[in-house]
Amino acid sequence: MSCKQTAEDATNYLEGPNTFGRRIAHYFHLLMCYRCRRFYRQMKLVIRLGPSILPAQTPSDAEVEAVLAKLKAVNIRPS
Amino acid sequence: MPESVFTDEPSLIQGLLDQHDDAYRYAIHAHQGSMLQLAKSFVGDRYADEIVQEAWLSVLKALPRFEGRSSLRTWLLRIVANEAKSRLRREKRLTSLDALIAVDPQFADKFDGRGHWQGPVTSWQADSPEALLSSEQLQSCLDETVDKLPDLQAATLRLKEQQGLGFADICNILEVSESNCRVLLHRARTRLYKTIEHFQLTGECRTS
Repeated sequence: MSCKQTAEDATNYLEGPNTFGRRIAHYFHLLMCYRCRRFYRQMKLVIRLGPSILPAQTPSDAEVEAVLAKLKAVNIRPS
Repeated sequence: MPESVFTDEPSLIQGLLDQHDDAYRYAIHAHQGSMLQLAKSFVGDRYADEIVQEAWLSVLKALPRFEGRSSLRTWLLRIVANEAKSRLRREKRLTSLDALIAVDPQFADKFDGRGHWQGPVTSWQADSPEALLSSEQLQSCLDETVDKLPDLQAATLRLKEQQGLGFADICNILEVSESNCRVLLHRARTRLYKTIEHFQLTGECRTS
């Protein structure tokens, strides 16, 4: 397994599920390669960063009422 | 948040079918935010409201035919994605899946012909999300990177990170295979990686 393949497979490996073969291949590559180890540490950080840079958003009561008013204005009827 | 007699899905669906205002309020409160964010991934801020409005109308029309094979949320988000993709297709702006899952040439250049790193992997000064985001400049740079992600990459990242959905639901919503879904997520994260790497090296923002 090359460094390029290991880097390309980072999301797959870090978010599983992983076969026994994939775990072994990654384990030995990461054991031998400090650059890939560093890259994986950094990718783990990028994964942990996700919820912080993309927080879930909920509408305010006023926004809810505005959407409701628009839907009622169309007078939607299930068909 | 309205009082919740509608917390369980069958009651909420029945409430929507009965055109109960509080059921509408509950559904809008619970799902409007994620629908808007998903729409933004495809069409940007400018048209997201319009797409979500169209999606709600489609949802309410089609609700009697909802079979419950997925959760209501997954179904709603799938309708948003379809509305947005239809619009981009009409405007010939939908990026092809092949282009989105292809290896980023700039990232590929980090490796030599035998697939080894060409140079060192840059060391980062921060080792936690909090430490990284202590720089407001990097934070806004990452926001900009997310805004510039191509449609399906942005959608996959948002559904995973913002909505906490699993790959099975994301594939269902975006109508892509699970393996492509994983590649889309990896490509999106690689772009974030490159933004951080460049910032760590130069202290400057580069998002392309």
